[in-house]
Amino acid sequence: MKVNMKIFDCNVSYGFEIMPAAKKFEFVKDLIADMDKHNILKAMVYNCEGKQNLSCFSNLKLSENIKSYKDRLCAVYCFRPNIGTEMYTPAQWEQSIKDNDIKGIYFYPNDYQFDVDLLGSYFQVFNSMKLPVFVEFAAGFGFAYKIDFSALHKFLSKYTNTPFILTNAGMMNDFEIFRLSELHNNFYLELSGFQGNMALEEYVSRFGSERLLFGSRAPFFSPVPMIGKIHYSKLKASDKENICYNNMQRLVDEVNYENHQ
Amino acid sequence: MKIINNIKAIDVHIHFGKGSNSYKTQTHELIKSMDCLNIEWGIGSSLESLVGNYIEGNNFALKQVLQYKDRLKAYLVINPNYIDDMQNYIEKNFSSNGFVGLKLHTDMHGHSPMSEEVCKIYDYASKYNLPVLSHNFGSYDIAGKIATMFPNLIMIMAHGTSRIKLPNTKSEIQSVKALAQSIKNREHFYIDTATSVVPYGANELFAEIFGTERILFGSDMGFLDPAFSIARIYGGEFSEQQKQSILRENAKQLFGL
Repeated sequence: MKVNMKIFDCNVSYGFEIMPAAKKFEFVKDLIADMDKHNILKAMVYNCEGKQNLSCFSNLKLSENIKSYKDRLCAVYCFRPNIGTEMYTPAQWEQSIKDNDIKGIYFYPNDYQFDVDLLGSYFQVFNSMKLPVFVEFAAGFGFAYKIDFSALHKFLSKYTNTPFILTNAGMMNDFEIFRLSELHNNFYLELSGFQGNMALEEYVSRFGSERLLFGSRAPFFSPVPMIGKIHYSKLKASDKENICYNNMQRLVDEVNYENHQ
Repeated sequence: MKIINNIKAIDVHIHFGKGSNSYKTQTHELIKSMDCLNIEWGIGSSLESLVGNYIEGNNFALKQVLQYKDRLKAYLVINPNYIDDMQNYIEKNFSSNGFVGLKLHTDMHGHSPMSEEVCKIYDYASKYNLPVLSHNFGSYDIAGKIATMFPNLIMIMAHGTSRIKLPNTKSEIQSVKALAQSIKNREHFYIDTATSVVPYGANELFAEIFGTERILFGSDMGFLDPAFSIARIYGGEFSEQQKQSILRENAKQLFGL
């Protein structure tokens, strides 16, 4: 579905799925082909293999895999504890992020805790770089909560330099999302799950559009519904541009590897 | 490139009234959304009848339908915990000409899709040719069993294309294909598209497995934003004829609109 909008998709992945879905992007070229089909200019991309096991291996493949598409794809590391590997200590993460021009960190706390204290030494590194932190929430009918909102509130209060991006949320969590938006200027929302009736317009009317991000969760979900929603909505053109492109580009531009606090 | 909603769609799965996490749900706002998306008809149930007093909820739904007679129809929600006087209740409400089928939400009302009480509802609906939109006919296997036990039941499997798990496993696809095979020669088994979590390509996959003629456009409007669901059809891998079937013709034939 092509529309006349510049789109920067903040949430896509590629890689080998141990349980493949109907659609898959096993290779980066598959992802690029889908982006071209829908006129998506840029994407934040992680290697999905990092969600399933140690992420160090897939993270290190990422930069090599996307190097031919550096004008279209921004690399995002998957975070996992990676105990016993060369990507375990905060210093090792920091060096690897700098060496590989990484623009975000993706947390999928399925079998580890998103504990603000226990992971604090890592968060400090990411905070010092103003590196966007994506956290997959996955709540709603049939999905277990992977994380509780009090942990998010604690993180947002402590790491105020970090753009925190909640993904896969919405639908039954509006109260928490609105409250976090009210309390924390560094709280951002990836919109693929935010599908309540006119919920997007409600959010913009309360908080503006500067902290909303177009996200598809491709290849698990198509970008088409999100494109359609933006297209059909009565939001101002400037709000649509913020959501579809400007906000994510701004966050990428503000990453600073030398800004130690 | 412009997206043109050139088909007057029929949305078989909408909701009236205020629910949590949804906004601008007054009926005139729903009509505005329908106008914006070129949805000619909406067929729905009240949210209150699902999560509260089903009688008051159904009365509310009827009121909306009578106010917008040329745009809305309703499902009568039956709570299987209150079916002692079911026949009289249904007959009384259907005399108003606002209702076109029954809606079940067995999960919410604490029943399995094959409980004794729910089977009584299927039995009644079969006898009187009332379409039943059920939030959950169970697993694909159970849906197949229900379809076999009640061969004349007009079944609409709500959220059908999202029932496939994420990620799709090979065994899940086998269940879907087995269901499609079991209802192959059966009339009136449908799947609606109303959901927020359709896997990429699932609508197309279901159309391929079940046949486009069994897919009905539904959006869960009032609970979910309809723009997402309608975009999945207009922007999906469907021919123009398939879009016409899914968005309009299948429901038009089923409900006589």
